[in-house]
Amino acid sequence: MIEIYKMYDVAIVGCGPAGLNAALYCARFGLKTILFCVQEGGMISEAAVVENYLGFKQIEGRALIENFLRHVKSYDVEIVHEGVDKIEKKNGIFLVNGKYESRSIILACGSRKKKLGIEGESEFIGKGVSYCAVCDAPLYRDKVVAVIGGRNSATSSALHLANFAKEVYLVYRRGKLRADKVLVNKVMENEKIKLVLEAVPIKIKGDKFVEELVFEQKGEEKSIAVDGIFIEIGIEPCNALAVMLGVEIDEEGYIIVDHGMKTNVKGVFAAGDLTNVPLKQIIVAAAQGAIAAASAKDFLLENESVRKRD
Amino acid sequence: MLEVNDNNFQKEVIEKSAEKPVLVDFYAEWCGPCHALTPRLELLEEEYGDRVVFAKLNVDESPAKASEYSIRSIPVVKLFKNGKVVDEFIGLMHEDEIREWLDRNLQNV
Repeated sequence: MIEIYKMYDVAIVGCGPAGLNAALYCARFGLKTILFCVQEGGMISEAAVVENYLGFKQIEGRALIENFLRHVKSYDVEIVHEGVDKIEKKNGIFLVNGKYESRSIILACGSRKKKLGIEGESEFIGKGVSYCAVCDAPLYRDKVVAVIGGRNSATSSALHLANFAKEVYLVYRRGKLRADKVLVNKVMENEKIKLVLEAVPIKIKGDKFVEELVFEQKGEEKSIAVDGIFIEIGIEPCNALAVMLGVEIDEEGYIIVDHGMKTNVKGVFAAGDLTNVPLKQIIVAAAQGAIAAASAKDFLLENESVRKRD
Repeated sequence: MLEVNDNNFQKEVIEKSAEKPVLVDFYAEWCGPCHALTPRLELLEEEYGDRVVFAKLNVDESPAKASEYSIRSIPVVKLFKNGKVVDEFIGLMHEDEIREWLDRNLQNV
């Protein structure tokens, strides 16, 4: 038997900056709001410091999340610590996880780290291969590590690791780093960080733990001895729920939204890293959350008037 | 959850696990996903507390045990039986996934 608790105006999936800000705005609009939360703060939980969120010159990722949560919790938002793996649409009503009914949905499930897909990668997860420098950097005190990637997340991970490790190799397939200039300058000034450019990883080797990274550089196979390998080659959208609902995605899997964060499916909105809006930043995700909330409110009002006319 | 460290690990985990399985959550203050995982384990402790001892170890404050168990990624949760690690999972998991993991491991007790 399916147990129906109550009908919500909006169900928000994800509690990174997009989902949290959407919840804040929905609550302030007076909408009956439920927020599904697995990782509080989303990707911010993997950021050591944040230096580009307006109003905070420098703040620890965790402290920023605490501020966000405190703010959201001061409003009437029901927060459920439950992963969402199913949303169905029936007669214009959405059923989340088979038990929560809602009139609209805001998808804000964000993204996950991309894998390299090379030999040894999966085998050594937790045994030297890591996707979270902030979580694991202090475990590599005085060790040698490699960071794979050359954009903002890779360079900031390398900088964070340099606070602990003896030596940090920054391995990137291109000839030049593609991170913000502030970060590139810091990398260049850091004596512990060594650039390995035009290098494509091929294989991760080791016995019980990671010992070696094998890569190809200008047609030649080379390797470096390392204790840890941090993979920071970008993100991919968590779009499973979107696909389930028939929401249109682009060729890279990002949800296609209009300027109101509307998707092609009536009543379904999206915000944050999983949308096709190119700049993946906290402030952008938060702003998208606000827009999605406003669109959800308008959608609900329109529907209300339609219902009344009938 | 019971706070274990380098000093009491032998007594609270190794020795106790001869009577009842002991789950150890290796965490640190700096680790975001750890902060999301620990409250979930605390919830499950209410459900499984009579069958499993729930413990946590701060890897920063207990470097000897972190090194002995070769902790390279956190959060990592290890289950001890008779003084030995019998299973583990790495990273953040949903509450129901942890429940499945516990059920699977408790079947063989």
